Amino acid sequence: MLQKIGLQFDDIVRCFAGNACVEGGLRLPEGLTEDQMVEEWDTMMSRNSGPKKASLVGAGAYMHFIPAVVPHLASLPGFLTAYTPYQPEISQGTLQSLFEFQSFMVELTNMELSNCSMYDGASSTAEAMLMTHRVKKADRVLVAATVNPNYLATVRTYLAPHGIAVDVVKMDDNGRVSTEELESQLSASACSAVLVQSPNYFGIIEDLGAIGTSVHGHNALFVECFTEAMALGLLTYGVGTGADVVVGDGQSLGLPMSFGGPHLGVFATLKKYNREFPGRIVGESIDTKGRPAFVMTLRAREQDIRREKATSNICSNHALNALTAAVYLGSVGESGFRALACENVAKLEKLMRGLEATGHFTRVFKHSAVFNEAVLASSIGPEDMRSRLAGLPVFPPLALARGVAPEVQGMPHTYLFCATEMLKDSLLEQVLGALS
Amino acid sequence: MKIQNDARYAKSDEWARLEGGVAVVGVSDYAQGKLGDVVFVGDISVGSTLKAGDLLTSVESVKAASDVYTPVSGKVLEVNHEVTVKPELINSDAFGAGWLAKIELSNPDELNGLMSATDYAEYRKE
Amino acid sequence: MTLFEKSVAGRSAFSFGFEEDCAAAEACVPEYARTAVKPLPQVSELDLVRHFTNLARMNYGVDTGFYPLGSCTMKYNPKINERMAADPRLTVRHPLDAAGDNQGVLQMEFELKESLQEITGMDDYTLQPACGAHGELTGMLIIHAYMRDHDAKRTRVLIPDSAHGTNPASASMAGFQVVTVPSNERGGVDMDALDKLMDDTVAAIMLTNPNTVGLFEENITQIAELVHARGGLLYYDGANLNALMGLIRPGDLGFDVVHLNLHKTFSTPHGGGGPGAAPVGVKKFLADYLPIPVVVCRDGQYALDEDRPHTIGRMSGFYGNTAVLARAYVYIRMMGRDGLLATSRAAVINANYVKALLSPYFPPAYDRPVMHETVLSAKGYDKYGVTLLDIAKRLIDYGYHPPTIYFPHFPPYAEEVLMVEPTESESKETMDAFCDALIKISQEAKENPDLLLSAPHNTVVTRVDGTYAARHLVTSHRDKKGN
Repeated sequence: MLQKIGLQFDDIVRCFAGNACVEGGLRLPEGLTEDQMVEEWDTMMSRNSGPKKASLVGAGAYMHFIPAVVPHLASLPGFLTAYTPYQPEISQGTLQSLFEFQSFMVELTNMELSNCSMYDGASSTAEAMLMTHRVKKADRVLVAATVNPNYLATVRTYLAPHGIAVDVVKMDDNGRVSTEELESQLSASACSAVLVQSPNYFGIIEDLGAIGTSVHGHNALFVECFTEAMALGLLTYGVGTGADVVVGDGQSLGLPMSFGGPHLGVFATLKKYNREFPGRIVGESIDTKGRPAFVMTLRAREQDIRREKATSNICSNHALNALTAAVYLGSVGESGFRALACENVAKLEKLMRGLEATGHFTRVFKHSAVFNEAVLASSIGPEDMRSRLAGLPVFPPLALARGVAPEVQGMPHTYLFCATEMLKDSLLEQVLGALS
Repeated sequence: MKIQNDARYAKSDEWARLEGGVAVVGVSDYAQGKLGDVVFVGDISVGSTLKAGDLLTSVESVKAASDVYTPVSGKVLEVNHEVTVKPELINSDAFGAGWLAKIELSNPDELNGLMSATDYAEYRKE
Repeated sequence: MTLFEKSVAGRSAFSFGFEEDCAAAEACVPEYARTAVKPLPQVSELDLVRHFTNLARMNYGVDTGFYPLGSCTMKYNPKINERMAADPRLTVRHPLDAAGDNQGVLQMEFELKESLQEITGMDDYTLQPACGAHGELTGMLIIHAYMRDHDAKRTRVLIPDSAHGTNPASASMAGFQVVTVPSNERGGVDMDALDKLMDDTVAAIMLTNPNTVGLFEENITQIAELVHARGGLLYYDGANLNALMGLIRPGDLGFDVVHLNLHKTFSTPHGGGGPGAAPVGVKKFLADYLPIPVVVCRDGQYALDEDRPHTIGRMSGFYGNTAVLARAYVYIRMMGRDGLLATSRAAVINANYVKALLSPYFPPAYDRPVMHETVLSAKGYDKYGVTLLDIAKRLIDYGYHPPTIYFPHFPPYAEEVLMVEPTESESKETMDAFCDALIKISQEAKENPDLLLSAPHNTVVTRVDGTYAARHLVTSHRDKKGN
């Protein structure tokens, strides 16, 4: 081949001359064969704690049952090793599966239009806030204090360079965003949007409809977000509650937690914002023979065409994870998805009653309905909690920092507990036993 | 490339035509040819006051997005709603049914500063 | 037919032992918050499997055939990576679990970080960004924060006209104004123009090296000196790193911030558009600005460090795409020092080989040896009534995914170009066959242009009408039902 080129390798890289080249090779170890790699990996991974069957912590990542058919289909080489579907004739597989994902998201969020994924719930939420600023132009947004702190932090990072103020709306005594505070903040000065999460960081179901009415009374946009996509099967979101955008994370839809990523950003909005929203979207069209065919559309919003005026810089997204979610929702189906949401609610109920019965725990925010997470105060401290649960195949609950949730007499430690369908009765009993 | 003789042209391919004391503006046939099939025309606010060269709207095709700048200064009196519903009018009739806005001229002399039809045809000759 | 259209009431693919009372659970949710049952498809597992298996068959992937997309580095995705990434010890891990119980995962991430530091000559890395554009935004936010603290009047960023669209989009999202720098006739940054543009209002220049026309920036050392001397920083878009591993390092060339694309250079699969991962590397003086948390190692213990006083904050919910990082880790570990160097050497030789074979038919945009990709012009073919698009579509009939077309686009040097990046994965036989096909097509353009104009012929769908899609927007099953 070098003969055909007519140059030696050194001639080709002559352009490097005058620049600092690597001398003596990279200071990296020698490569491994496959069997050596397996061995080394095994040793390394054994340094993690043992296998888990359930997680008592949620707070943005959830342990759910993943049917075998889901990873099987998601890892088919036609999906896995394909590129972005710029050539639709040879990418109908990706395009149609993303169209189906969009369809699922429209149903679950009850909005009019969904893109074919963002990176994760936090960055998707941040992009939503940027979009509201593009639409409304007021240099201020309101965020409920009950939104996941990592989501709030990401929103701040994205909005900081644009001089958009992020004001937090306090919560009430029931662990929900305070409607009084919200009204007063909305009246104080113009803002582009209000962001509320439901179920919120404490697992509590917010009254999205009432909040939506309040927000629209002040000419701002209403952004709803969720960290637990399982809730979409049972709770109301979207147009019925006055949402302009619904964003969140779809990790619960067939994706493992994987120590935090890759997860699945969901972004759904109204048709009137179809030139303002970020991310790729797939549309249905026809081919030269009039047959239905899928293609990426509304591309003029995107970075390769609009460059610095694009609605976002996003290029690659989390397409394979969107496909995985579509497969998952197809496999659990209409009745399965509903039943799973109910199972989650019931498991948490059972866990909470059981914990309270031990005498060491009490529910904080007793009067607020929850989905699959709740805050409980306890006399048991975090070290003790960990060691009691150490022998069980569960991830322990999240110990909240002092001051995050209200304190209870005699129970100075607060925890954010989660219970999903993975917390089978036998394991639940063992957990209660360990915490008695 | 179609050219309308009684219109004046900006270097950025917009045209302005005086009609009863008011300037009708749009994008030229050359511009629509470069864009390809137009699929979207952005909103223009009636009543807004613009200077020549200000952003008027943006026009989108499948593969491109083009900012449209007003060739004249003045107040926007009327906007063509037809073209927002049927953006393909810009392709089929860029100087006629594909008009974008009617502007009340604050400085009619500006029209003299724009290119004549002949000059524009020369400028965009391929 | 979509999955929704295959739904038959009462069918189910789900097998799960529910233990609780559904109705009682529903009653726990206040009525105003409770939604009706969502009308999702009801299909059997066999229906589901056939549906998606057949969809996958309609896709072309690296596993199917040659995928010479310039700038995308469609190299082979090793299957050992997949096995490791699916290890439950990695996947069944909650991110908020104590660091002490996750030493294996954290060790993997830390060692990956160290490898990337060595490969690129940078001092510290964040593994948080989810893909290239996210990495660019992270890097530019770091620069923005640094300038806010040191020299707040630097609000502009210089970007070459050849740059990928994400560069100006990211700079804009990070709060900068974008100023374009033209390229010269040798394909590099025009030094005179740079000299005029680089002043005390400029925070940084964003460069890809080799650039988007596959050429090494010959003047990089002078560019770095000039920009640094006038108070600016250098940002490196690592999309084309596949040409340089083991040969030259962006850190040594003077770059202050670097982003890498693990789904390009480091073999993680593209998945139809993601997920990827884009670690961002910095020089020491910027390390405090990295997003938190950062993976650290102290006395043999791995941890997630949030103590970065000037951090730009968080870019996402957690710490990055761990399962993707794992694949890159395995790739680097198995390649080792010599494998990475061999990779870049082969990538560069392969691109020059393809250029040598195709040049008589598609003249290169620049008369210089190229790095890992070659940009060739299809300008003469319009006299036969065919466009570059038609040539690309005809390649599909020959069983290939077309190369990148119409990018980069910066007249007069780069117009109507195709960008071919064979990667090191491909054999001489594969490249010979691909070039034969393109040469045949160049003949067909002259002798039988209709074959190109009506291509592709053998695919599941023929050319798709983009105008129709945009004018009759149908983006969900609900839209279809509504029409």
